[in-house]
Amino acid sequence: MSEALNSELLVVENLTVTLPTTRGPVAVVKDVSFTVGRNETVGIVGESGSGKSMTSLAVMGLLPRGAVTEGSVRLDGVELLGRSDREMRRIRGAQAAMIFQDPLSSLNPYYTVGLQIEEMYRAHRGGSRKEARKVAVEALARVGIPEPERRVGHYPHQFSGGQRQRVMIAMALVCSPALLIADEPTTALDVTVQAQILRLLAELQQSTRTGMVFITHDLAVISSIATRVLVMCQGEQVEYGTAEQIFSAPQHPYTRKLLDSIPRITDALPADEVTT
Amino acid sequence: MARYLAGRIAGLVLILFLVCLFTYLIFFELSPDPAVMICGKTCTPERVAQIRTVLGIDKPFLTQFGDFLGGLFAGRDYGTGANLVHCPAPCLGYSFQTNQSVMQMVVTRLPVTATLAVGAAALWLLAGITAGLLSAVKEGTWWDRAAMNLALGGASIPNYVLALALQYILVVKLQILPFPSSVAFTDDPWLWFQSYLMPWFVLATGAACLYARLTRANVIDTLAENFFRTARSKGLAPVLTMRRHALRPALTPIVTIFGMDFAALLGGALITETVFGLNGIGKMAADSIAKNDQPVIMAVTLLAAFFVVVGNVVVDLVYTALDPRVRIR
Amino acid sequence: MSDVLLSARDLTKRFTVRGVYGRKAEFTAVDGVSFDVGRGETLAVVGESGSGKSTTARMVAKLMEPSAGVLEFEGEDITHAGAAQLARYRADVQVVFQDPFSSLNPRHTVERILMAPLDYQGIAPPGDRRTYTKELMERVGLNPDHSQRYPAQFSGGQAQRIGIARALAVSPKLVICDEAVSALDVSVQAQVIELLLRLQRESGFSYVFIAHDLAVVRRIAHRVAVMSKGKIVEQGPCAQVFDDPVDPYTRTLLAAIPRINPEWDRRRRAATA
Repeated sequence: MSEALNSELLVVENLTVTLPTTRGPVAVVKDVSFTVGRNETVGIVGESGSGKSMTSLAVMGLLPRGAVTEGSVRLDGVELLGRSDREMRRIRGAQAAMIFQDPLSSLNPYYTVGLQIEEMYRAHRGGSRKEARKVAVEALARVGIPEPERRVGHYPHQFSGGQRQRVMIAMALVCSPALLIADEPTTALDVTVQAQILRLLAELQQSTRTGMVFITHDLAVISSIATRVLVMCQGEQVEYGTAEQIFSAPQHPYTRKLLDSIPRITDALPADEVTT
Repeated sequence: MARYLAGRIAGLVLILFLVCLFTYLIFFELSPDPAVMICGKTCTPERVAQIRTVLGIDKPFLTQFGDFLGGLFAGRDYGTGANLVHCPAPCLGYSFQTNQSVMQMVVTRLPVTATLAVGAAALWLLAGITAGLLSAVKEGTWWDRAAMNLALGGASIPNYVLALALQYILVVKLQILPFPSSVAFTDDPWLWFQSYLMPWFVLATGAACLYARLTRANVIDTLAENFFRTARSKGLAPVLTMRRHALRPALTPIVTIFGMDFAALLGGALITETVFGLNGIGKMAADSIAKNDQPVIMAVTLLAAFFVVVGNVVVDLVYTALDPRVRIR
Repeated sequence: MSDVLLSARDLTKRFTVRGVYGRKAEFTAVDGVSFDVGRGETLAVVGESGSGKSTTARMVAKLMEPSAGVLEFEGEDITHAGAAQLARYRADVQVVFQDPFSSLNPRHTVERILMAPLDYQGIAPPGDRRTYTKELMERVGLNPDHSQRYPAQFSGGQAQRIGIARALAVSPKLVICDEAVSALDVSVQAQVIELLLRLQRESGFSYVFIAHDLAVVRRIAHRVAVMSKGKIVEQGPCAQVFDDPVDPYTRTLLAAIPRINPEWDRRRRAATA
């Protein structure tokens, strides 16, 4: 079976995540399975508390203390669940990188963006500071930060929201990981900036042939970027299929309800309420 | 930057001036006549008047206060004719009790207090931050609970109780340490060290406990920060992750509190110095208050206020340097 | 819609920002904004972060004094309203905020929360407090038996319904919704939007609806004002602004909205119909 799936980059099978709480263990991800091909974007969509972020943290081995995982998560055929933190450190950043919702709080305010990119590069590739600085400047240039030589020495608060997310993307891709997990990367951004970041992610994903897991609550965003979609609700996998299947012929009532709820720019007030 | 500094220094001078004014006013209005106290039991009114003239306290309040300020900046003369004594600037006057120059007293005693403060601060920073950090990393374990309960207890022990208990146990009962004395480092380094050991420990205990709890809370908050999660997702070495992405953000705010605590300590540790018989600013303050020695009281009050106010400005500048969000906008 | 309820003329808000080392700088958050809100009408004010839409909302709610400009309510100048005039205005104009939990006192029961605006105004509730509370809760779709519960015992959507019920308690003429549905999950958001629409149909009050989500605005508003960098760049009836935008910024904004592949959407709707 693992031979047949060799073309797949990430294989998640029957993933269950249980968190300890004061009222005993609670399963926040229940029996979730999906695959991400090389150079493919898979969207995980769900409302708050659906377990979509926990799924991504389980892949990265970044679950909170005391979390118990079952099932299997294989990256390039290598099982990730049950690995020590030491082994996972070599994978994090180098083979699987992550970007988050709020780019300002996701960057350390005390260090320049250059240093934060460099430290990641050097952690996996080694090399001198000078080399790493060069790589950081190139990384910033690639994500469209103007004057990267100057900006590399700036602190996160000196960038705009969209630029900060570009910095996060530059950092995540600096070691050319095979997998990029984007957890609500555009939710905190203005809609025009969101459009730019989505375009950038799509371009970079194409040019670097990175597999991407894109997590969001926004179905419209998913529809524009993902080839396959996993719909989650309260930790359960509700529906999984190609984007076209999910959006044009949803099978599960929850998916249908979700699709019916999104306000569309074409949905106006009923005619009798509009005075024209 | 220059304008900002100038503004801060102007504010600083104003505050110190007000502190002087109020301290002077309180003693002018409320304290018993120092001349009568100096003169003693067998005293004539003529003698009292003479002493008052020599001390310069026969003049109205504003003149006296003016003389005091003048002495501070330009020096002043006491007495007349053959009895004339010139007190060079910065003149804090002469002790009513010992006739010593107050400035001279401050200069000889400040090193004792400074030694006490520096040693205690080093001790409490080291102990407090280490304990707090360990507690934060091991949050919820028996170590964390034990350390934090101990810290709560430690912060609640009054200094004089701890000082007396230590002295009783270590000096009197076990005789491990000699009785503290104000020996100079150059005379006998080992005795000097032994003498300061207990005072350092006593002064550091309360603050160390407080700093342990503070560090723990800050580090726990930082470990929950998004940027710490980012650092973990980057696969950095644990030491680097902790140092850059937990300690630096968690400890920077502590600088503010430390600056203020340290400045306050430079103004004298009354209880600790008195209990251990160390001749520092704190003991000088305690003695002068007990004997109503106005020039000395003025000096210690002014000194304490000076350290606090200057410490405040220094803390602001250091914080600005440490936090790029404040430094660069 | 000829009857104008609220009218803003050249509303401007300038802030003095104090930089590091005490350098001062002036920043114009809202720059000469003018609009009218008719009775029973919904005016949406949309814009991205920093556009000045929330500052505008705060000035209209009289939570903030404008630096310049005039605000009229029912033909009366309330720009610099005195205490008595302001009290009357507060009875007529209510605000629903973005985060329901932080705008509801966690230590008060729903009944106390809902009666607070009446108590503040010194108005006696129609009927007794308990009955009126239950009536309000029913109107916003909450179980009236829960009137003695605390905010924390409700979900986010339900808490926002409490916020809406509180606004309704004084029978206002204008309700200002400051990103009132932005923090809600889509399925809950859809329900709250329907609730807001139904309440307006029932009671005929006006909304000033502050939002960044244009799709939500399209669903709820009669007219829309698009703000950018403190100015209104375009305003008009929804259909006109959305379908035939004139201003380049409005066009960029509309073009940036992520949409579900229309072909897929059409097929799904055809299948469910």
